[in-house]
Amino acid sequence: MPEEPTASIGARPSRVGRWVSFLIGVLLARVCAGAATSPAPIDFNRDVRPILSENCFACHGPDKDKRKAGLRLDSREEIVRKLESGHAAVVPGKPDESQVLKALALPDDDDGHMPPRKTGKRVTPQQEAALRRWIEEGARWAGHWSYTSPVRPQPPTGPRTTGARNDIDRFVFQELGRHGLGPNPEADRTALIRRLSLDLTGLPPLPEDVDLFVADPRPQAYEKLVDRIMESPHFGERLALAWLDQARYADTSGYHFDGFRQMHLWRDWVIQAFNRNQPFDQFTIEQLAGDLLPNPTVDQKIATGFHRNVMTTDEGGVDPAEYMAKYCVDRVSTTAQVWLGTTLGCAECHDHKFDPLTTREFYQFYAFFHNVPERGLDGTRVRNPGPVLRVPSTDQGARLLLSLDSVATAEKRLTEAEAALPRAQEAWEKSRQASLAEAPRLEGLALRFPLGTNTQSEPAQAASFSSASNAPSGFHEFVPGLGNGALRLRGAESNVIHAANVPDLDATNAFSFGAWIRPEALSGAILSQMEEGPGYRGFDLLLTDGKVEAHWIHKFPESALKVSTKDRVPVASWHHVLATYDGSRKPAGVKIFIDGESRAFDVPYDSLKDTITNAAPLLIGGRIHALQFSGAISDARFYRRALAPAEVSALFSAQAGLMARVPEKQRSDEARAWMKTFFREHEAPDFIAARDRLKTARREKEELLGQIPDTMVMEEMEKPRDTHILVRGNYQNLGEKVTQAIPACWPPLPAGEPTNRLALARWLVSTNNPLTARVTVNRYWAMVFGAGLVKTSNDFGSQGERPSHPELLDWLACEFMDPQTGGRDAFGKPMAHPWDVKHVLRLILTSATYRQSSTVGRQALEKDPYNRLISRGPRFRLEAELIRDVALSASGLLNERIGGPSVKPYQPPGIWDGTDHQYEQSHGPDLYRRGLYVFWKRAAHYPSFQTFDAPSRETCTLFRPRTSTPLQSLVLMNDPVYVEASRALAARALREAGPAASDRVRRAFRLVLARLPQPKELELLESTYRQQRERFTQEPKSAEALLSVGESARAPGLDPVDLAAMTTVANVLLNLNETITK
Amino acid sequence: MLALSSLLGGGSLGAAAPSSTSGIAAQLRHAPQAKRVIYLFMSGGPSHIDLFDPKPKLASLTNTELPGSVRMGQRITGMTSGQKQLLCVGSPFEFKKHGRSGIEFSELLPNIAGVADELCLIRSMFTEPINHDPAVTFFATGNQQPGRPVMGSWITYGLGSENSNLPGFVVLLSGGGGQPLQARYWGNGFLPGNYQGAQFRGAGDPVLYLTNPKGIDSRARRQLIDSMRELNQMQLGAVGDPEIATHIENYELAYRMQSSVPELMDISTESKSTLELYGAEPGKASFANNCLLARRLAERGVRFIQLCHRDWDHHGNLPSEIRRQAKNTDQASAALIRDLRQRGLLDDTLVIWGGEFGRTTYSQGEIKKDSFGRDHHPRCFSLFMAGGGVRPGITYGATDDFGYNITENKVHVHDLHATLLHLLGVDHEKLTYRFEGRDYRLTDVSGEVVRGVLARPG
Repeated sequence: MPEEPTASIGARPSRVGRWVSFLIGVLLARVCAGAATSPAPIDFNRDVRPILSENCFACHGPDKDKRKAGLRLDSREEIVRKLESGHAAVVPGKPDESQVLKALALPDDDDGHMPPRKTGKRVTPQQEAALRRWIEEGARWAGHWSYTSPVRPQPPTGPRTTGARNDIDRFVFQELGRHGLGPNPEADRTALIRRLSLDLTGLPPLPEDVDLFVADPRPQAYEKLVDRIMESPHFGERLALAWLDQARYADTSGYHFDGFRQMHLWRDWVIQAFNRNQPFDQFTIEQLAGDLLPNPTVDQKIATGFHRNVMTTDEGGVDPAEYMAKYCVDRVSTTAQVWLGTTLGCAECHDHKFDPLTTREFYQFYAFFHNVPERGLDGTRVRNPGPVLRVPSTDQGARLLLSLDSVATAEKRLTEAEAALPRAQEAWEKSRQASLAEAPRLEGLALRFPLGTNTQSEPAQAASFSSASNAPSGFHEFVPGLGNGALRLRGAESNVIHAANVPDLDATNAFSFGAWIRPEALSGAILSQMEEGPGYRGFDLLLTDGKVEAHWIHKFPESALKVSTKDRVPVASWHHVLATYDGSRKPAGVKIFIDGESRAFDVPYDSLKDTITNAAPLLIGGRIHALQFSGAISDARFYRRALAPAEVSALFSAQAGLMARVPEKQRSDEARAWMKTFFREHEAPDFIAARDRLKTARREKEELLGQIPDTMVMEEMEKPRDTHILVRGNYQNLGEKVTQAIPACWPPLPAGEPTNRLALARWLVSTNNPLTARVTVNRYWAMVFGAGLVKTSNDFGSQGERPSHPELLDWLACEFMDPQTGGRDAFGKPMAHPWDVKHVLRLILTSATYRQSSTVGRQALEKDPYNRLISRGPRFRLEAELIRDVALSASGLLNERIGGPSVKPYQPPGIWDGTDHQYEQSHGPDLYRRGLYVFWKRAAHYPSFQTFDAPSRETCTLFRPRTSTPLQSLVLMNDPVYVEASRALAARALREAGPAASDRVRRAFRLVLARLPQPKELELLESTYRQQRERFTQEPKSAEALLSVGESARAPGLDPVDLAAMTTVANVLLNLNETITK
Repeated sequence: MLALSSLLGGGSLGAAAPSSTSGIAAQLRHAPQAKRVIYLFMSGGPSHIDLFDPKPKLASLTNTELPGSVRMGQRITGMTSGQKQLLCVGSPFEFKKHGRSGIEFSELLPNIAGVADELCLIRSMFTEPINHDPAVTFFATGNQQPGRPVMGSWITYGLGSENSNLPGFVVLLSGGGGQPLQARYWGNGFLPGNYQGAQFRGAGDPVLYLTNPKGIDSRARRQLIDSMRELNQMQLGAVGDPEIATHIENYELAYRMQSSVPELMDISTESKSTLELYGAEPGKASFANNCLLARRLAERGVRFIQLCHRDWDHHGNLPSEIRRQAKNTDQASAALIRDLRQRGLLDDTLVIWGGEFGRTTYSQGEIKKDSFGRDHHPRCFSLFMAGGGVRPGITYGATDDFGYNITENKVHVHDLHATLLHLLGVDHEKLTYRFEGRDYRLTDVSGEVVRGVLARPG
């Protein structure tokens, strides 16, 4: 059906296919003429308020700051009040004395002419006449219709309502009759089941289901079908679609960097809530204030994600207070639009210009949402900003419990093992004393420097400290070390100990060297025999930032080997470090040991090719003029072979043996601590095993926690924030302090209860709220018929459009809150429950109004061009997501899984380029999930949905426009998902139908459109099939190319030429207007 | 339904269509100076102090605290609000007068300076937000909060397009790094989706999904569209919904776009001297290529062409960063103006060059010998326009010795919008759209046409 243009001063003429537009012109002229001669009495809300609202309220309405001449025209009391001049704007019964009419009558250029010329507004002669009649008839006033609670009207009866199936029809038919129209005949069953399936599940019916319904002889076949489809688990998905727009659901934060967030648990909740037909009042309360219910369930907390869907910022440099205010403002605007159909957001900066809502009232409403413990600036960019709720699945929950249990057990075991350590150490020390407590005598020891005052049983060989030259005493200090003495160096060049060059040593020789060290700085050389730069020929062992490094250098860096451990040696504790080298010049021939254990290392240089022989002295605690060591060194050794790991380990462990001989009391604190650590790390297998078990258990727990999704939820701060009016909406300009309250134009909150979000939520769905039920049923009406009974579904205020069928709207609203029709149970009570969404939908869908054929004749197009009178069945384009769903479903590719995280289907490259995120496309079944689950990035939309008018979801969207553009044609023809769906649909038709081309075409046609093709349609498609088949026969490569689009596997056993030709036929089908239209 | 006439212009809807293609009613319009707009958006906030607005006295004030009398307690961003000092820093770049007009530019923009006599340089722009997201949104839509249409959407809504084979509002992106670009910056807000900027791309399909799938050539596509047309026509006959006629027409237009768009995007057909003028290289994605494409789009009657170029957000290491960025943009920006002039297009094409705000006179972070940074500054910034009815060869407005506050002829973003619409022949107070019970405008509730920049102030 043609889309109705939005009324606006600057509005473009509508495009209804130009050949129709002149008909509408004719029609509009007739309607206007009809209105002028209508004998019906003036209805204030219908005939007068819109004129006053449009032309007068901006300067003479609710906004006190903009009010001119102290004159208000938005209440009866004010409009008839005598002014200082002695006149009154309106004198009931006396139009000629009423200033309003006088001001209208003044010439345009007169200063007193109203509305002033510069506003660009103009009151038409017909409107002026209406005002005059209204004053003549006594200027009867009525409150704005939507602020008065609906009262259930009596459905009309009489000849015009003939053919009505339920009360909806009586209202609709009555109105049709008044316009000289009657309803269309009922659509055929095939059309009805397709319409119902699309309306209730968003998916086309299976041909088999169509056949069953067409052949169903039962009198209530249609009603049973409605009930059956409503029970589909896809019902919740279909209903959720519009709710996600209203809740501005997205997978990213929206502002600036638009970081990722995770809210799919909330989306799942919405789907399930619709599927279990949760009453709309509960649906409301749980989403707005589930956290404040007594003992809320996890689901009720998840539901509160509704208002955490607001955009949040991650832009460095913003003032958090500014954004906190934005989040709150959004919550106010969204709540008011979704439940109250009111543009309360207008009052953020100034009193509302058209509706009786003040800025003060705006911030009183704002105060309900001002207590969430959130931060204005969310710096995470990858995670959900708090408050969040972690929600394990049943399986994850069970595994988590087990995991927590094993962590606790492991902790207990470790404590026990630790408690047993001292006694075990004592016993172990005794056993060591008994055994040979000597350092192992290892072959090849060439040099040894004890560097302690104590002499060892093992003789020092070759050079000794006494051979060091130029060592002024006083810079060295002998310290006890671990019991056998050590030399402490202070990082001065003069501290470095010079020994004689180790002769006959080259890169082809194997050797090992190391020492005990207790570093006091992170860097310094331990042992070196190396020339000065730039060549640095020689070898060394050193610490760099705690890492143990060793060089074997011919000329640095061209011919050099360097290794550097990944582990670091901590300062201020004793450690054994030693390098072994096998003479291969390769890193594989090197091992670096720390505390007897070989450690992994990096190899920054691996280019050693030549000799390392030099004449430099062997230095302890430095290199020549460089890298002087700070700390203690003891027992430096040099072996002329590569020690085996077990030997190095023994060398290290020998220290413990030596120490075991020293009575515990005589050990220094440091030695005692070292011994304790040594024992734990090397001689206490029970303790080590217990510790490893705990580590593993904790790691497993963390991994599990990482897999458990979280979701953003509402919470209240313990200490509530103060709320001030933000003057002119400026977060830095705090005005009067306010507390939570409902605007005065609506019924107040019940007295004596805490005024919090829960009270607000309950108030929204209380039966004396005049708006929520009307606004909600109006949206379901719009979902089914394409436009609401109030077309401006987001504005029920004075600027909004009047309902096309006011009584029907009120009847539906009353039926929603307090159902009286439909079946009754054994006790005579209505089967439907209050706020029963399925009940209201069932009423609409079982009406004769809905069941009309959508064929439109010339007369109906003239009198009811946009089908606002419902003179025919609904016919309009599907939502973006559903267009894709239909193609996937008809082709059999659809993955019907309900709920879960969002997916990333095919998308052309570069869509996310401006955003600094990478699009990681999904694969496998995730490619074929319903559009509802496609990842919603606010800064860069999924392009094919955007082309079909899906909103950005930055803010609440109550109505999607329906455009029709060539960019949409390109999507349907060329987006890989539609090409792939064409292939799958073709394969399905080939498999499921007989070999005749006509059968195959017929099958594909029915899968997409439910109905059978007309003979002419069939003929055309068959000829397309033959034409393309011929082409592919000549170009088999083209056939293969077309069939290669998409990641799903090609159905086996089908002739590629047949399949390709059928694929093009399927592509034609998926591009038809009928396919994307319900 | 408000679709296609604005997206693809009118007059293409078949013989019976009325000849009027314009968007808004004729009485809202006056004679336009400009028929189309090329908006070069420099994302991040180029430093006015280092490019357009010479501050010789600032050099001697380098390393001195910004006087409180200048800042006047105005808010600054969270990135510098924690700094102990706000030390002024002069521009290290030399400024010189150029052309007969004698407009001063820094040495970083030699080519733009070379077309000085074509330019109208506004040194007194100011805006309200202080951070990127709200500031770009504000500049684009007249409001800091997302949800409203951008300039290009308003203008195509108001004026439609002049080309039936191309969208009326086209967007081209370039540059990497720096601040992210949001689809909202070319979004239709509450206007119907056909008014959103259509992004044309240098790589892949120039328009999304333009290319037929492998195995379908142009001839096959024609055959398939013919089948669709016949089937749709049968349906139209059976159901009578005029929407079906539109659907049929869309496929014809889509088919035409499949040849017209690649032809448009193929810059290899340009002469060598033209490519050299811009520094454009066929097959490469760059700002230079986009400038050349902008001219080609302008030639074909596209109403609003928006280029977004990233990475002008120089919080640190400004001297070398801005030099690099100026080099990326200077030549092609000037080339566009020269090229439009020599093809006779500049008179009715309005070119706008600028960012979302300026940069601070004080340094963000330490001032080193060759390096310093500047934070966001909304109180003043520079922007230039050319062609389309603006007065050439002038500077408009001035700032104080610090380049901090405006001293004469303030131009608010809404004023710029009002002026832009005026040049297109539209009264900014009358171009409205009713949404949620209110008539919205690009200029919200304010905006004055800046008469001083008009060639014919009338």
